[in-house]
Amino acid sequence: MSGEFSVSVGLDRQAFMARVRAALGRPDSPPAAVSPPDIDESVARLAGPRDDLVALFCQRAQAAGMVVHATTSATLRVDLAAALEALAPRAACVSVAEGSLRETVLEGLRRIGCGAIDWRAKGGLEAHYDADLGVTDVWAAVAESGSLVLASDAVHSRGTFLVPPVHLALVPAGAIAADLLDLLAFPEGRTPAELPAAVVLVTGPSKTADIEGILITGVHGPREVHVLVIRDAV
Amino acid sequence: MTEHPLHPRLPFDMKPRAALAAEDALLQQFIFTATHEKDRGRVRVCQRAFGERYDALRGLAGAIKQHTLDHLDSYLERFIDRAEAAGARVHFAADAEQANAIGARIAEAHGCRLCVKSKSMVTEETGLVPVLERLGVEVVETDLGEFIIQLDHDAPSHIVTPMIHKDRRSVARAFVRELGAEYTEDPERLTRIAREHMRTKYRRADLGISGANFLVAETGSIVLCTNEGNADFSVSGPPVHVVFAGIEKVVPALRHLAVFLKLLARSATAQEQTVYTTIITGPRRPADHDGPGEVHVVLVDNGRTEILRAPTRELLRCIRCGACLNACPVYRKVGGGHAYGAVYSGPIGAVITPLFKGIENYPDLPRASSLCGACFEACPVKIDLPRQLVWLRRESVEQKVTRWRERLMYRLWAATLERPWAFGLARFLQRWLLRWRARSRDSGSQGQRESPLDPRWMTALPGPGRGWTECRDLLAPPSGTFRKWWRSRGRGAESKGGGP
Repeated sequence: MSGEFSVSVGLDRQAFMARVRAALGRPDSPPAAVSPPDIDESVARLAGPRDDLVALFCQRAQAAGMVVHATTSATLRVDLAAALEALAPRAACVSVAEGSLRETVLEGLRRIGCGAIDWRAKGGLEAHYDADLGVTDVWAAVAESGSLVLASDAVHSRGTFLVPPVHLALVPAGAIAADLLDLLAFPEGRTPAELPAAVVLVTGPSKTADIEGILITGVHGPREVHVLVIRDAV
Repeated sequence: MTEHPLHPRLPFDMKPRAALAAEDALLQQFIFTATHEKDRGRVRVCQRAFGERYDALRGLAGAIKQHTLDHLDSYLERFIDRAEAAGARVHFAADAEQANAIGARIAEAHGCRLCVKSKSMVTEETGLVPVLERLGVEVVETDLGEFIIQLDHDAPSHIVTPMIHKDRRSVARAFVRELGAEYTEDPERLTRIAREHMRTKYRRADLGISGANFLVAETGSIVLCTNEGNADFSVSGPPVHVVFAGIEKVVPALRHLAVFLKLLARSATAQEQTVYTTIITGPRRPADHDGPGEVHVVLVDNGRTEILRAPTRELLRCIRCGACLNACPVYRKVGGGHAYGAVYSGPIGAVITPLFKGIENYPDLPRASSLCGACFEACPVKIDLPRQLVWLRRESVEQKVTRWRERLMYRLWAATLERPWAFGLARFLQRWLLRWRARSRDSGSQGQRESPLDPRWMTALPGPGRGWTECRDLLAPPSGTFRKWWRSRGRGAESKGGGP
């Protein structure tokens, strides 16, 4: 799937851009180097580093319809076991980076007799359709809006937080950004290819109000999102 | 064959559709409830989040978008460079036909059979779906509302909540007829049916199509906002993802995106954020397990460069939140989007549709507004819609789109106001005619008023006055005039202070 065919329809780039420049009233001049406007943070910022980010995140995530529990590294094992027991999954997909957190999750699943599906065994999102729980860590989180931020890479599938009917996310306090302005700061000198191909902000369970404005969760994605915040983890 | 709601024969006459909708009590109630609650919700959540900064934030968002449009050449070039650097392919469509041809060419090249598509106003505008279907590609709309509309061979009537004009019974009937489902009117169960049906499609689809809420010049990213998660399914499973995006969707950098994300969901549906905000930067990375191997971005002009010419440029700031539709008393009264006879409805549609399709083809739309300004107040990027509507009205006079009778009337009116004697004569004639009419047999005496007939009231006027008296009476002028009364008070009366 290299896609090296040429699409011979449509305009070429020069002709297309010439139309844009003509409309701007400068048909011949090459585009100038412009610097984008500054953002007045006194207007746009809704949360700052001085806020209690864990408390704010928990409150906003709850308001967005997620079920939020807080724990610490010391009590994580117990609280995770309790959460998993309550959810009682039969088969789970796990997208958690290698390390102790991943081991804790796998051990918790083993203890309740829940199989962890190896989603790499099948192509695309396919393996996730067999799971009734998706467990993930997060790329980041946002206190302002209570959002989980998930990103795709070798050990994080785009399906884990999307396809199973229930999503459980583990959020270390250190991952919580105060404001969207803090999350969406792209460092100078980085190239687009260094960004993950997909970064997804999840703010609540999948929902719709298309039929007579009645709110229903779980239309395509999960109907329940559970969040475990680890207060002392970075 | 009935006429297509959004692609009618031109020139389009709004009045028959509006009149039908005005008599449909159920539709009126639906649309009123849906839009009124969203409008109040928008004000509530924006006040709660921003307080007194709400207006300044709208100003900031508007200024960012205006700056981007003023330098659209630079930002588009940057977007193209960065998107290609991330591995995406960028295509250029001057019009709808080219956009569809590019989409068709990509589908053909990959031998695609089943396409899952998330909501996109641009593809609605270009009419992409029938083009793909003619190639033998099955196209499934994955947004629940759009899916139901597709099953019912209907058309969206609101840019954010497309099936605002339909009730649960029509959904139930469509599911029984088209999916062989059991009849149920329970929205919860109807949604489950759609969920299971859609999953069989997602798993087999070989092409994903989406629009874009934003394009980010700094990183070459495209941004998708949904509540259902359907866009994520559509662009994560299939091996090929094709994005259709208008050129006005660019924002300079990710940090500017943050400003728009703060406003979009609050303005659209009174939510803090949409449930899924997805930032796609190129195809899947070599190490990734899933995601499309190819991402194509089709940049669509289709009339936008015409609007980009000042003085209409500010219209391209629009982020398609639908807040102006929800706030608009006319949109509510004409029964939602179908009365506008085009893809974009409400106040924003009333301005951009004539610009896209020609004022002569949509002569009613610039006047489908009371200029009350509610749309301007609701707009998160401060587009001065009333000013644009007035500008468009002037254009339609200059292009002689208005009827000759109207033009003649305004000529006479202007000539009369320029000459005191003509003004006096016109006043005399008007008073005399109205008083004569009020006294005459076929007006006051035949009225349906319950109280003793009052000859000062006119209940039926002929000709152009009929519209007025159809729903209310008109008071005839009194015998004396204000000017006469003023003169009779004498010069000395002024210094005495008090009024009459």
